[in-house]
Amino acid sequence: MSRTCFWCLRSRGPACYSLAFHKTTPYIAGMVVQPRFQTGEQQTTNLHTSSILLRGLMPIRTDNDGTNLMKKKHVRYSEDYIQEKIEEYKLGVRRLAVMMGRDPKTFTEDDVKSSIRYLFPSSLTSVSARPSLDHPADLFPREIRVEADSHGRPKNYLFYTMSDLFYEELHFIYSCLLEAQQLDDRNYEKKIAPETTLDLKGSSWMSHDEVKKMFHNIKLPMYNLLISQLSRLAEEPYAYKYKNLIMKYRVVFQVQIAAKLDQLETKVDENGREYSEAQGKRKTAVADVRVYSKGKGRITINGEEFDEFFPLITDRQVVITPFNLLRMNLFFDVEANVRGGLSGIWMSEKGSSPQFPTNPKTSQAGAIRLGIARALQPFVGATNAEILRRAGLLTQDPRKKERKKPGQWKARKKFTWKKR
Amino acid sequence: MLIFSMLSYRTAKLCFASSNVALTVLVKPKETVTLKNRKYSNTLDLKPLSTSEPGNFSTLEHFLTDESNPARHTIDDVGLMYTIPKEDYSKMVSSQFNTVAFTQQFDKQVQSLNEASMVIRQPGFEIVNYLQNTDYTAPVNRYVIHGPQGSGKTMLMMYATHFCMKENWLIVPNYNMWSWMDYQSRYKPTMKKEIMESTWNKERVDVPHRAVIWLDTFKLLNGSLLDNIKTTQKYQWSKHESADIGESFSSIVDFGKARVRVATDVIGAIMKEIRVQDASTMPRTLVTVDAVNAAFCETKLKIKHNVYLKAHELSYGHNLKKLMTSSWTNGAVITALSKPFLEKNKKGYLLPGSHPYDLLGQEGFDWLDPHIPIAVGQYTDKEILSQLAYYKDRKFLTGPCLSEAGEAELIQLSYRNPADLAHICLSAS
Repeated sequence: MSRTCFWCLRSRGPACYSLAFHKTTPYIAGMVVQPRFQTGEQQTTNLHTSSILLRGLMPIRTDNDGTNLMKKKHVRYSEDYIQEKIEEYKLGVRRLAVMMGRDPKTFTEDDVKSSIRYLFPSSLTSVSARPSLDHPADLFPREIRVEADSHGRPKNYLFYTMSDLFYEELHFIYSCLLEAQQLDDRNYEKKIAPETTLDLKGSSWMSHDEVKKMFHNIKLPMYNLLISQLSRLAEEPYAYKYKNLIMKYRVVFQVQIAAKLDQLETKVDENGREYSEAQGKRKTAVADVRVYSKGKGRITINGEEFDEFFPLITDRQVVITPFNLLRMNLFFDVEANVRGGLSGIWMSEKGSSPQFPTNPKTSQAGAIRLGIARALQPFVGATNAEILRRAGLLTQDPRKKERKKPGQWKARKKFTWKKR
Repeated sequence: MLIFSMLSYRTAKLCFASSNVALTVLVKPKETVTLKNRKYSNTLDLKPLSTSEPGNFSTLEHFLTDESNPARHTIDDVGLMYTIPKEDYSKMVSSQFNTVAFTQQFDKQVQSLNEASMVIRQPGFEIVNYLQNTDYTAPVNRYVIHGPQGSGKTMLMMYATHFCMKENWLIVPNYNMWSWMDYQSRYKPTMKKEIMESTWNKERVDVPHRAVIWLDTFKLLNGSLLDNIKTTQKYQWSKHESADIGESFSSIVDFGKARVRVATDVIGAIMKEIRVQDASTMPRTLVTVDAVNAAFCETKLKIKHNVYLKAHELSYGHNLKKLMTSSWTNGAVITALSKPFLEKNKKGYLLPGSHPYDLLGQEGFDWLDPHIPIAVGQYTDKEILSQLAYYKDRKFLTGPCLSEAGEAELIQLSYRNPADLAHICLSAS
């Protein structure tokens, strides 16, 4: 086997169509062609041995998938043979269960694996080399027969593309696209609007690996083609009629709520108002925040009103982000007490204005924001708390002022570098 | 007699009004327009506001009145907007130095929209009511407008001046005392002002070119009224220049504008005549003073090292303080406090609070005592909705602002503060 074919770079390649080279190879009689794809129905006609067309078609399988048994070429396993093996497997499982002292009816696959690991412990590194008891369906290749005439011509017109189901699907999608466009043109003239729209929220396109399971061994450019065709169909106004087709290739998200509610309690004031308390920090500022449930959007800080305490509008935006995200702006009242932060008196001669005050309070605003987000959780529910968590409003900003180092002016600024 | 607006003061100190004011019982206007109430019985049933449904102000149609005369505004007009006609607006704002009467922000808005419109608010209605019902044979009333920063005190003063212009009063505007006391001009930072010794009294100091601006605005506002008022005294400006008895105000004003050295003395003469003359010769006068608290503070003007002038050492300040007393009749004095111009002294210390006690100090409060305080607060529901509807009408607000969620966000961000609302709605973002 020193000679190698130009196309398949192997001595006797399975994925090769070069009849010139492989003509010399012997053709085994009674051979069953096993194509890459899987058809639903299996036809039982055998192929004529003298069909020249099908000579170049060998069972095409890559080396990446399947067990070693499946990789054997020209091997045929009859159905009776496989049935025998299945019954042997079932017997073996029952015997294993009895050996381990368990009820064979409630003996699952995981129990099988664990019991074999117990009985035949091995220290081999590769998992596929260790002893195992697998169902024959995983081991033996499934015989797929081509749908063909009595003369040997395949029924499907796309057989020679080697992935007929896939191309069939693409043609179907294109036909749906044309239909949708025709509908749109017709109804536009009649001035009829579409009834609904297709909402693709909450789902995303299937990945390459998942599509490979549906169509055997689709490569990346083909996958991209499929997705682009489907998304072009989804842009049409009448795409809602083909929702089943599009959702077949979509994966729906499931909201996983990971946020644990920090605050679960709500207390009652002397006046009977319900509130919840929390603390927030940012740099050296610490804020104790109370959020009252039934309010009008009033915010008081250290006894002062919101607009007096924060003349800068960016600080106000920082404090209000939890309400903005949830769109519950005027539902709550807030009372806060803040201490710390660089809120001392700044000496400067340049003029200050309400837009640029000389006493910055941004760290205090960040502290209040954390306190509000934490205190809102019991009022607002778990899903909304998840929204806050994903926006990053429930985590404390860990940044602090970096210390000054010796040999430098400041944390990072160095003295001038002199070459000599 | 107690006035209900005085209850806004924190302490229990009572400021009795002079007995010449005949009060009318003011009824609070019915708030027919309110924000929609959210129903939530259980705490976990909160529903977020929608981004598609229109908010309260986007469906509001009636937010402008047609009446441009403040004398004819009724209690139902409180909360709506009205426009100042262009002829009156051009008188209030002088062409050369635009940003003097109103705030800079409002002037920009007017330039872009080509019309001046403001909200009619309850304290404005109150002031107009007082001015219509006072006894002008008794000494002058002083009104002090106080409130948090950005809540519309200057606009209230302009509302009162508009009313008085329609009634043909003589208006003496003193916009912004603080601009006399700054060393650098607020609007031209490279120009330094000149100070010189006063020609009238050597202990005092002048700021001559600022006085020319004052005379310019005075003439613009009053116009033809000045021809009929005559002096009753002889004024000697200097050795060779003087004004005889019987000279009209307009000639004095022109003289002052030409002779810059003498301008502040002209101002002093005008102020004295107002105090001295009766109702027979002098029309009713309105004296408006913006940033009153500057008149009782130190200036930034230096004579020597670390020696700063005080307000009463300026000849203008001296005369103005005399005008603000209640020693004359047939007029009114409306003053407004302002915090930003006194946000810090020259050494950089911040002043707390916006209460009259904090801003005026002991000296100022005693000088203006007794007075009628008028409290200006943030917008009410009706006012803010009509203001937002106006901005929407002028295409300043589009898109998600008009939904319920956007409306609530705007209201909470600005916290119903008029200046901040304007800053948010008119800025590029």
